[in-house]
Amino acid sequence: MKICLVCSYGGHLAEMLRLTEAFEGHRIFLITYKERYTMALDDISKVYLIPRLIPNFSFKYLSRFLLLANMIITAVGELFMLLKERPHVIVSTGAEIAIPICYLAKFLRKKVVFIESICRINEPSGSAKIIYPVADLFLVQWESLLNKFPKARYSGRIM
Amino acid sequence: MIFVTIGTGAFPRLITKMDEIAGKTNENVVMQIGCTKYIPQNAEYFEFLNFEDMVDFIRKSRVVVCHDGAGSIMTVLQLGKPVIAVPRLKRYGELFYENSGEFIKELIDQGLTIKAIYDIGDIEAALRNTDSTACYLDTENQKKLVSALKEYINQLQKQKVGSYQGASK
Repeated sequence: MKICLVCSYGGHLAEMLRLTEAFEGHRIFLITYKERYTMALDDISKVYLIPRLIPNFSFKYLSRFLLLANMIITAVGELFMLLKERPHVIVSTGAEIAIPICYLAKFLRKKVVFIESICRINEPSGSAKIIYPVADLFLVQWESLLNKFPKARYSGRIM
Repeated sequence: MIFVTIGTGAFPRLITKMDEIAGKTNENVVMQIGCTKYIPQNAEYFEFLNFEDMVDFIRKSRVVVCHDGAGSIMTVLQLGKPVIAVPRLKRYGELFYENSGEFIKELIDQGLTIKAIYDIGDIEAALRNTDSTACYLDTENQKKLVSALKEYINQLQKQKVGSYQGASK
């Protein structure tokens, strides 16, 4: 199987790297943001980096315009990656970087797996709510979130 | 040595407090400050570190102070060091969603050896009273999740093979 892993950088990427053992024996590639971070990606042979326009210095300055522009760039890039790599399944730990590819993948009849962040105990993330309708497997890491997502499953968590 | 890491964002409330503490203590303080604009005056600092250097600093530290980030906490506990976690809070503009440190509370309820700081003034006392004897990371929960994903992927593979065989008949 060819598996596309897609996640934002920082915590989302840290969570994804705790799960890569699940994909051993399959061909994988990762899509994440082009940002400075400390995680080692040595175990993943193919990594695609998408530019990130959203300023990171403070959440107060999250600009909706930049977010929209970033989503368009992400969608175009991810469509290209989908057509080039032809994965069978998309696996994501969030966040907004995964939204375009999950919908594109659903349109192209691929399977979509979403794992909500371990940091979300009672309140789901925005990307989880948006991706939920197209997820074939939707996992939450705390049972308290099961009542927010009827088709979700709880099957453990990264720690 | 006290090592401070705040991940990829900005956390001026914690960095300024740790800089103040670094100015009072004889103990060496090293900080990874991410996108924080405040520049420490009393401690060695880096904006970002590669993974090997991060692990090296954690190994050499007596205690690690970090934000409530899963990645940082996992790395520190795996290396068997005491961790003091400071949740980022919406009321200080540190997050765009409501958070009162539930994540850290849940981890502690699950038995993880983390010291949580909700009032930044409590850090100094916490730094004095660290205990490294019980710092480790259980992998039971992680194995369950990995197993669930593996099973799903294997199921998909069987369906794929099944459909090829069906098509070729």
